[in-house]
Amino acid sequence: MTDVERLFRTYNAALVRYLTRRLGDRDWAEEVAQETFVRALRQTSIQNERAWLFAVATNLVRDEARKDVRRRKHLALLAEQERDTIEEPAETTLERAQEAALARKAVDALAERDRLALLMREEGLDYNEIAEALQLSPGSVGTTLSRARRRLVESYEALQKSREEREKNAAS
Amino acid sequence: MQHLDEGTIHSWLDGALTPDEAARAEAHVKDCPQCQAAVAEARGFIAASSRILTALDNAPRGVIPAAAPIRRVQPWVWRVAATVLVVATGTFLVLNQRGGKSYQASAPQVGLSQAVADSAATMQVTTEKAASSPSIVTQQAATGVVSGVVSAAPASAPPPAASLAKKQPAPTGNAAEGNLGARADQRLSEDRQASRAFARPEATAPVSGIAPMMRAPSVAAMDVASTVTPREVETKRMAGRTQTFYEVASGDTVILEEQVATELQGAVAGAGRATVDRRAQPMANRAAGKAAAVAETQQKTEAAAAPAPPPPVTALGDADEIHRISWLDRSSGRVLILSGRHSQEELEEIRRRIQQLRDAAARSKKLPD
Repeated sequence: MTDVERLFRTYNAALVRYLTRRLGDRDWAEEVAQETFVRALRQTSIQNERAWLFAVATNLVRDEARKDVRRRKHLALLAEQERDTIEEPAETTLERAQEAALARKAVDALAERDRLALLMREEGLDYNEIAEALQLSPGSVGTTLSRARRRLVESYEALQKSREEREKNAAS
Repeated sequence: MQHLDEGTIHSWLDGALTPDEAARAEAHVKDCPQCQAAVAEARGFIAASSRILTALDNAPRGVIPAAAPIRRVQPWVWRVAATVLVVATGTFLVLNQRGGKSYQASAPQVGLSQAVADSAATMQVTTEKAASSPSIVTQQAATGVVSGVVSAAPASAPPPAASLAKKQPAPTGNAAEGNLGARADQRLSEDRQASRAFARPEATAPVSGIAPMMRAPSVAAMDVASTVTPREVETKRMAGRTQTFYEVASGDTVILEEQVATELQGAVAGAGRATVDRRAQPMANRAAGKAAAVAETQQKTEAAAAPAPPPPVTALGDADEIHRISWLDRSSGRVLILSGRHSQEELEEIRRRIQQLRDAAARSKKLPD
């Protein structure tokens, strides 16, 4: 197994989930993840793999960089194998869709840095990795995360409440 | 000791404090009801935010409109830029001539930009298409030349890039790499747009009674399974059936044939063979006995540039043969037959994506009622 294959198998699932949460589109997320691994191919050595991959994926989304189609072919093949191991989302019921829409709104309401730090933390990156990927000081990650979590939960609850009120008004 | 701030509490709960710091925090919290409450609250936030984020994992595929969100440079910008370049180059040449340099000597420089005004320059574009340069796309757009060359231009079109690589490996690779700077302004959306131009039947399809399924010969078997969402290209309605052409990748088309419900009973009853469904889709997945007759014309993407390309003779394996899968679409009550130059597995994957598109379309139609 080549090094990039090992990277792919180790981090692809987390990276795709991170990007899916970030972008709201699974296809797009997979596209960016693949591009990230293509970039990894070009590196001779990577110090902190996970921080590097998440940082590159984050920047790719930001820069909307183009894909390198030919190199992606191999990765597409790997992704196809990998996809069998990633759980496909269950059939979306209306309720789940509403929940997802609220979550999306609440996440989008966060400041960019808070959102990214939180999404990375959810994928298991430690404080040093998050600091490296987002170029923060390690000491500020705790503050960033605490703010992100509080705001996310508060805005989600506020959205939920206003939706319930709307439904109540509609019913009466 | 001072009360713990929120950041420290989260760091502690996340295991990010040093052992010393953690011990101090723990000792403080033990005796401080206020901080105990803060820690409990922080735990709540951590758990709740995780749960909220999990809801995002149900993101569907292909919900982002193909072009809208990631497009920055409008085609007219390229046109204007190209025009400016032509004028600037011309001015430069005229001025240069005064300095004694001949026009002829500088002619090659003009070549690229001249294509904007002069469709005869298509020849040059053709020779340089391996470069995948965005300026080529621009020229094509500006001159209004619609030909197979258009589809060959951007890097998103794997078939021409790959097939050309066989003939001229070094230039292809180098040019593609060397153009990174120019490509930086291109967006994913333009990839998709280019793909769109690629599959435009009148641009690439040879004359034939039924539009052919296309698959460029050098497309790797799994290439279709890459992240491109099938896109509806064309629909043909015939007696008792409808054919819809989907582009699943650049230069890669499949045909979805719908039969009306009356034919369904016989077709399904006659079906003995169940199709492979790796993803265990909830919908019925039975094979219909009948499959649509489909024209089997293959075309190399360079066809427009080279008038009479020989059909590819290389062994392409299963992927080059036309396979069909069929199933019963519950929402419409119709038998759907998907055919293309793909393996059964690939077709299943394509089917899954098309079905998602159809479901989404069906949902959006139902909503207004």
